[in-house]
Amino acid sequence: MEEEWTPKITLFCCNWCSYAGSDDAGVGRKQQPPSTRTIRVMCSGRTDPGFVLTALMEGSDAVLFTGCHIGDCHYISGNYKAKKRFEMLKEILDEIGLEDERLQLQWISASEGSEFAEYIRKVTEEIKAIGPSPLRQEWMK
Amino acid sequence: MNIGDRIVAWSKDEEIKKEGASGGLVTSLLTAALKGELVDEVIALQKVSEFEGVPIRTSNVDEVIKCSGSLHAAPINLTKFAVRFFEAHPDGTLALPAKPCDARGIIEQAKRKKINLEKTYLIGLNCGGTMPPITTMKMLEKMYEINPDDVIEEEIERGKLIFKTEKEEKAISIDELEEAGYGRRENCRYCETNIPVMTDVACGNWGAGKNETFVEIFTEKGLKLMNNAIELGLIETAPATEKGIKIREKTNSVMEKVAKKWHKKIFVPIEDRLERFHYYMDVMEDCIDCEACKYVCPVCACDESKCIDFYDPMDSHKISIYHLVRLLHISDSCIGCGQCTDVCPAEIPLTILHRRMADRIQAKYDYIPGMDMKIPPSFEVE
Amino acid sequence: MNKIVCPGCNLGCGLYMNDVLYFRKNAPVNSGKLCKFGMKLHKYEKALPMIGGKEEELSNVISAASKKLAETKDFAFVSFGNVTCEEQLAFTKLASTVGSDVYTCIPGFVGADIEKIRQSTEIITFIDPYTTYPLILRHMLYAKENGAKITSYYWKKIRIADESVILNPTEIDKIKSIDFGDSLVILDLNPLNLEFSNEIINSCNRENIVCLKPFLNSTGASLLSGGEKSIYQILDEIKEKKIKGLYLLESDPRIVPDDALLSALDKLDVLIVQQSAHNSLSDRANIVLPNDRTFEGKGTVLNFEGRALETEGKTEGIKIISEILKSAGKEETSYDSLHAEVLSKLGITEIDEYVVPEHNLVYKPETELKKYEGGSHLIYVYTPFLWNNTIDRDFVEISPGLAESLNLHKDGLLKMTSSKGSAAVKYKIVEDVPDNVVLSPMKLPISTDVITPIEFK
Ligand SMILES: Cc1cc2nc3c(=O)[nH]c(=O)nc-3n(C[C@H](O)[C@H](O)[C@H](O)COP(=O)(O)OP(=O)(O)OC[C@H]3O[C@@H](n4cnc5c(N)ncnc54)[C@H](O)[C@@H]3O)c2cc1C
Ligand code: SF4
Ligand code: FES
Repeated sequence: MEEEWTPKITLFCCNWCSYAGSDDAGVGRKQQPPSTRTIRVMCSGRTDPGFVLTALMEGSDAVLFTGCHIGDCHYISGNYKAKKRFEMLKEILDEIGLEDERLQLQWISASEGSEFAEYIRKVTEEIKAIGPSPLRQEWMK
Repeated sequence: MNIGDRIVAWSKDEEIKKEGASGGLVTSLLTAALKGELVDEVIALQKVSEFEGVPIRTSNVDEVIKCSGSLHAAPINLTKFAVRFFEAHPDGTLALPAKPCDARGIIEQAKRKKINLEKTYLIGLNCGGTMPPITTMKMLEKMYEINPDDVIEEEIERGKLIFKTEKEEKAISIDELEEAGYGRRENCRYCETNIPVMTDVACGNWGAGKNETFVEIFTEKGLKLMNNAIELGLIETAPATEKGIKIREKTNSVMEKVAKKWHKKIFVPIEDRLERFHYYMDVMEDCIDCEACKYVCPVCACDESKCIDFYDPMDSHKISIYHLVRLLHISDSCIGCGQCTDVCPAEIPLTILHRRMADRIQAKYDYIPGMDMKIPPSFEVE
Repeated sequence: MNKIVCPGCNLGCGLYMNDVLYFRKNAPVNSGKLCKFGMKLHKYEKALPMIGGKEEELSNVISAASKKLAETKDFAFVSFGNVTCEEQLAFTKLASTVGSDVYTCIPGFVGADIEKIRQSTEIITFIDPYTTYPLILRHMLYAKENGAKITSYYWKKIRIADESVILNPTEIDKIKSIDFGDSLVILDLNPLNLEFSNEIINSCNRENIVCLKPFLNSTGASLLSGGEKSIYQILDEIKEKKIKGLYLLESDPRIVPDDALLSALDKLDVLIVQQSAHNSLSDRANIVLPNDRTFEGKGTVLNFEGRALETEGKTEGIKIISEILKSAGKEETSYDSLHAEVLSKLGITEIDEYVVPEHNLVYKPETELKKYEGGSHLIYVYTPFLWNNTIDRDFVEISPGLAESLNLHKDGLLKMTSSKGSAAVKYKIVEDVPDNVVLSPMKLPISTDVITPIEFK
């Protein structure tokens, strides 16, 4: 029997909120699929578009931008920058024909562990439904 | 004379007047700016042949005079030459003739602190488009049956492109030439900015009589340029005629319409997502990683380039990250000058790709680059 | 600004250069397009006049060179074509004073021109236009757009080709059975693998061959100098003491795949180099004379089509050669007289870059294709740019299958062993390379030839 395909999802987490949120989800042993690879950045404002593009080219099926809720950024405006970048990236990825689901933005606070786990489950299902990224080379594992 | 005035003017020097494209006004404004010590240096395009011009930077008046005349088949952008000037002379002052795409590139560089706009005199040239030289030489042989070497003058009048030799003069309509794959560069066809309203003075032959230039003054600097040349006794002026003003406006709006039509024809939306994906994959596949497109790009202002940072020729990606970063990076500042398509050895239609992106971003953020000093949307993320 | 011709290969792209580089949009070969090499050509360290490793007054070095030329028997002169026709001619005159000829190491050959590529309907290519001669690509694209069918014979798949026949050293004989018909053939005539190009040149119609060469003025050089010896032959003869003195004009024997061959240079009584750049070759020479780089020298160059192109600049190299002639008691020469002689040899009265003059060059060599045993091979897919000190690719190319079988991971290294030892290099995965082949754009210390048998360990 063929194994069920699990998508690879790259998750950019800001140190102060969403990383703690994902930690909370882990510590609380809330059920989540093993699909994510987490990359911790100090602030969502550090998530360079180049990181996102590299993740996609190297075989990620989706990339998630996460950070503190608007107004809560540890560095005041980092997440505004992240939001603008996300918007611009979204345009370019749409223009080159990538599905909408492959790039997402979600604000998550340190205490939202269960929301976080729920969100990852939801994204994983969405990506499963649309299949592997067309940017992935066949021989990439 | 006041800001907003529309006048006609010409050089008082008979030789310059004769050699100039339409009365030699621009050449005289440039020489006057040097003589009156308004500027340290001037950039101009020196004619080598009808199909070749070399940009020079000089403080020598005689060299500037040698640059008079319009080269329609020398599609160069002067922005980076101006950037080099300010790199060498951060406090210097500069004057240069600027087609709309030169001026827009310069303004975008000024926003990125590579050019001091306050110290740059932009003598705007109306522009109906430029032509690629090699294709134009072929066109002369095929469509005009003229040997390119024999051309002594070239002119655009009433939608017709006219070439003159010692013996003859032939005119063919631009529409006909462009249908046959000749004529203006593709990006010029859909360029909607014909009168460079972002410069200090806009000069052109629309609405002017023979051997005179129609001038519209936009700024304090523009006034200074004109008054300086008048005080030095180098130019003469007269008010523009009502008829001239009308002709200029009418021609401009006709050109705008034609450009919009071309835009529609060239930028056919690709509705299907998958089709779009394959389009981009295919079109970029021939890239040889030479980075020439970045080298010539007039709005690229990185000291350390993001597009190269994330890119490694060792990667075996399906689409080059270099191009994706560039598409993103200049999506708000792309002015559609066509230099990247011109230079690409792999014949990738880069300007079209960049404009596809730019049209989306620039509409989304209601921002048109190079028209004024408005802050670009990407500055918020930097 | 100086109007120059890019010295990266012998396509002959037009440029303007001073502090800013500007693309000549009306240049006949490149129409203002340019590859990476052209954009990066400006910076290099100049060679200074030297005797025995010590810097000296130029005039002293000139007399030392002329003295050595007079007293050493069996002098060989080499110039690949990295100088203008005028300088090549001056060099040929100098060689003739000691009864010698100048070797170019590439046989003289002029084939089809660019227009012929653009008009052709069937193209057979033996090069990778994406990396080796990038500016030829646009003409192939043009032909393809107009319906031409392109077939490629190469070590890997070539994207532009409608059909890619993937070569493997173990079955190299495949190229002997190609049916060329009336196809246009695109080929690289290179000092390192003459037998390969020779096989093809001798099996198809010569007017149909677009013959690209690595050095800007290779064509001009072979038109002006009659010497035909391969670089390997010259090194062999030095080893056998048949050649005792060597004068290299802007020509670097370090291009040979096997560095061990270069030890022949130590057997020389005297090595004179005249070159623009300071490098390990000039460090090795007994006498170093400076020179203009091709793009700094004034004069005429002939590109692969035999099209005469003009470059603006100085004539330092010619002056030095003329001084040597003078101090040997021979007739001096000058740029103007050399230029006139070059034009008359080319049978033209002035240089018109838009017209390709006719040339009468007879292709002579007859060599046999080498044979390769089974197993795996490292192939040195040199580009002309590497020999001009522009190395921007420090990795080899391998197939996904090979990467998988060796269990390689991203950022890992590929290990190879040849008879000369082992090497570990970075690699890139490309589809459609045979699993037993490694393509290297750089010369690796383990290579023994253009194609080296290796094992993966
Ligand atoms: C490509 C082009 C298209 C034009 N199209 C129109 C048009 O459609 N309608 C209109 O009213 N006017 C147009 N003009 C402007 C017009 O041709 C004259 O340049 C203008 O009227 C000034 O004339 P002049 O005699 O004062 O200029 P001159 O005294 O002859 O000086 C012209 C100056 O322009 C510079 N120059 C020449 N070619 C170029 C170039 N390709 N890029 C940048 N600078 C250049 C020269 O170096 C010189 O300094 C165009 C100009 C150009 C260069
Ligand atoms: S100029 Fe063309 S070939 Fe060079 S990097 Fe840009 S797109 Fe690629
Ligand atoms: S610190 Fe979390 S988004 Fe800035």
